[in-house]
Amino acid sequence: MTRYLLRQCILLIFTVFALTLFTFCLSYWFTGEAMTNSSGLFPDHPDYADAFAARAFDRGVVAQYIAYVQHLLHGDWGRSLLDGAPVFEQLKVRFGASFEVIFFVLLLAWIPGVSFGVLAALKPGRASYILILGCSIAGYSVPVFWLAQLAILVIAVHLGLTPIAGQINPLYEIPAVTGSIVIDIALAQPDNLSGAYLSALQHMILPIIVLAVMPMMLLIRLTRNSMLEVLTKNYIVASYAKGMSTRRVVWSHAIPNAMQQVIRQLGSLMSLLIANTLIVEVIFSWPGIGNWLVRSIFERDYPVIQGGLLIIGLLILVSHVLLNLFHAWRYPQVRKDLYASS
Amino acid sequence: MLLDIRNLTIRTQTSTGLVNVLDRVNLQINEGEIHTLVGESGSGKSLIARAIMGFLSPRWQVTADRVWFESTDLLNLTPQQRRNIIGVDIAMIFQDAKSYLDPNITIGEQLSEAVLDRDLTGSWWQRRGQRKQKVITLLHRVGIKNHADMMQSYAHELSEGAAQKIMIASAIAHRPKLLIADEPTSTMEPATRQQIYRLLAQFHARYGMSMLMISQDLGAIMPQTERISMIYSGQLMESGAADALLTRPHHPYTEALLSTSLYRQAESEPRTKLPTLAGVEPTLQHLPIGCRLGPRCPYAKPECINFPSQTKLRDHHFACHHPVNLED
Amino acid sequence: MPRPNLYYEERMPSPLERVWLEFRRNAFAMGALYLLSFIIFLSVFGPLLTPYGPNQQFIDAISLPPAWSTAGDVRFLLGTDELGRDMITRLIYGARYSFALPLLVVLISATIGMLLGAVAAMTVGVKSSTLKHILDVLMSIPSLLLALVVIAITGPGLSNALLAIGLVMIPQFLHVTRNAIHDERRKPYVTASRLNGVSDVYLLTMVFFPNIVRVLVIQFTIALSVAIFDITALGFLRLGAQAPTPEWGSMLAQSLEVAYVTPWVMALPGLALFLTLVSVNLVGETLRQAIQKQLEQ
Repeated sequence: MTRYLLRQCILLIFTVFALTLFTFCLSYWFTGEAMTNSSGLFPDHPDYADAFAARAFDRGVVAQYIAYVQHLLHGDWGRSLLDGAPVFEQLKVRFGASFEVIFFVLLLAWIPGVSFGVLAALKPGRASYILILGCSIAGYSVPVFWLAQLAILVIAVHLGLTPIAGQINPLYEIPAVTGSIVIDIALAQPDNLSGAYLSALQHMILPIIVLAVMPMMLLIRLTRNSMLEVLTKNYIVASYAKGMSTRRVVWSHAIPNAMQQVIRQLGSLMSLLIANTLIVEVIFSWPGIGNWLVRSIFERDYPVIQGGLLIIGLLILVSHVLLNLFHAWRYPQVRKDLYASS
Repeated sequence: MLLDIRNLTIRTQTSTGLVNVLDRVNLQINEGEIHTLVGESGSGKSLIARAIMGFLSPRWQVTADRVWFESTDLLNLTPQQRRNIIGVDIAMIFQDAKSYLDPNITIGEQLSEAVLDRDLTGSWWQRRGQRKQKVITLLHRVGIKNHADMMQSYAHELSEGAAQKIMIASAIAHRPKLLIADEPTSTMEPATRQQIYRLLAQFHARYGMSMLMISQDLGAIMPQTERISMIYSGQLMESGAADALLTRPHHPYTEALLSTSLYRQAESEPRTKLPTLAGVEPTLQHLPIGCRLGPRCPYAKPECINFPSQTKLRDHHFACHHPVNLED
Repeated sequence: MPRPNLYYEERMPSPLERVWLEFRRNAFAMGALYLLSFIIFLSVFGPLLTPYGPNQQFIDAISLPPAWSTAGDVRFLLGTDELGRDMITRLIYGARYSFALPLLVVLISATIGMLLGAVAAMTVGVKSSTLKHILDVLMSIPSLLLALVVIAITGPGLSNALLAIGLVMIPQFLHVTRNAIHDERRKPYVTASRLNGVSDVYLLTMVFFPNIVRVLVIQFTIALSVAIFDITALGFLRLGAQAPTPEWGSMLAQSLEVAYVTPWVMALPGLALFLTLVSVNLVGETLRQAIQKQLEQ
């Protein structure tokens, strides 16, 4: 396991290297001066000369890249070209808001997704097959921006059940510390705590449901398929031969082994979910990374684009590596395959 | 009579309609008897084993005059009754034992699943200790000394022989009255095969359990076997005491199989034609009517389109209109 | 020479026939296939079928509901938008932008990517699995995000969006092709062909290709569905096709302000997009199942 851990760490280092190299090169590929694109300082800024030297723009490209990485590590991700605000400070808040949504979506998708998938596998039949296939194809195909618009139109406008956009009613005046509204309310301790939470929940519920449709449907299908495959395996027969009841066989052998396939697919699910989150944040004016990134593309705010890309890329890379590690830790025969192939 | 099967028929739907994959098979096993079922692959021998265990999926329709274990009807059991018999009184081991072990759970945990709760007493932590103790005893019984290592290992780390020993350990956990072994050694090297056979013979001697061995090779059956049944394409051809059947078979099929075996070949003159059955085994979609050996049988006559009734000669059953080796 | 029917077996249908049989067995898949052919037909012959131009405005018919409602007009079967443009005409023209163009882009990048992948697999014998793992992880960065970055460099616009999608798709096809060949090349049948002394080109086209084509077909359907989604999503974010273009995504974006008054302006392009994606995904899924069944046999 230690060896595998090391391998994954090296993998992470290499991929992060590729990612930072890419964002570094973006400074040159964007229109304008590379120094301004990377630091967010215009040549007429008083700190320009110092920053120019600190970022090694008077030296070679390699030195510039090293300086760039050093700046990243120190939390100096440049300044926004629009308002001069430090990108990293903004990013922390934005990341909290985005992460909160993704976390709740996964929570909402995971539990019903897996349980319905298991149930569907245990009650096989043409009707359940068509239902599952239909739902999952529909859930996977429905364009998330259209679904969000429909949800706003029906639930928010016609029925008036939820607000249209935003994170919380602005009257509550919750200062954004972490970005995650649930934590921020707990930190701010407004007078009307339950009212604030209710307002946050009302704002949050629609984007989360819209985003959860696709992962839930995919999880149902993934779980069902992998359960059906596992149930034909020989070790299931052997468990019955030991005299175990169907319930015990399903709980202690079928579900854990079926989850192995599901976890393997979770990484690509995560990527799809993040892409969808970018769009949905724009529609619901959720103050997350996606909203910010899209706006900065319009406004050609290059340091922000670099920062946003870097943070989303990091999120995906780290979640992949963590999933790989969990997979190998939980499923020992995977490690053996990896050793054999290395 | 420990196991009494009369006219077991198993049907399934194929592209040419409903087909009797297993056709009126009779099988009797006495207490303490080692019975070997021999047939080519696809002849339905594993189906018999799985029908006894109740593992067949609904696409196999099982009918029989009786499938009795002692005095229990195995075909009509509630799930609760089945659990009291399967894994306790009837146990089973398989071909390719590794794939019958869960790849993600340690061997120790899997073996402890075979220990029944009702054999343990006391509070849950005492039960835990007892469970572990029982698993260690089981491992020692099948000749695995380094039980600590073995309990921590996973299926992919085991050799074929070790995996089969684990399967045997979990099968004998409750001293079953009947052990069904579905080609347990067919993928093993001869040395490992002999080890497994010896282990099984030990348990047979110690517990007096009956065994139903399934094999596809007459030349590699368990040496201690007492009775042999020959099955061809889902029909029982011949059944008799091992030595009698191997030396003087009455059915043309057994005769043909034996004549191709090695020691008979060594006796035959060089440059003579190797005696064997013409043709190939029929597929499920094109089974012959009556005796399914008919198209390949050198003695076949028109009456062979009716499946012959079983003839009993002393302890020797066979189903053939034209038995061989009867002169005396 | 007549084939001696020695083994009583029925004739096995060829792989392509079996894929077709799988489609025939499944009514939904057949429906998806018909729908897909219909969309292709529309995007090729669409302009011949429509009476109006996509940006032709009718001052007398602004925000008309579909024809079956009481306020509707039979001249405009699916109603008009807030500028008095015929919805059905715009939808049919939109099939070109939202389906045909992504299809073309995927075709081009698939060709380039597969060629490069084949060359990479045949020449650079990178033994290390580390490179494969690194690429695997980097490929998991969503294509929409990368397309956004490309657009940040090139600026918004339909052609830039198409270029971005095309650029992002090439490495994916390259990677899939290279991996597929890599997985196959240790198999005994390849060794047998090598022992026969065949050339590399023969090996690639006659030995590898028939065996990896199933992987590539599946990758193609996935890429097509992703490309359609990305193009429309970029249009929706106003980073792809711009305002008057009848692209479904940008039509959806324009409908944002009026969706509360004239919901059909929003519902119809979304529905068209949804049906297109469903049919592409369903055809892809059926193909995958058919191929899966063949592998199991």
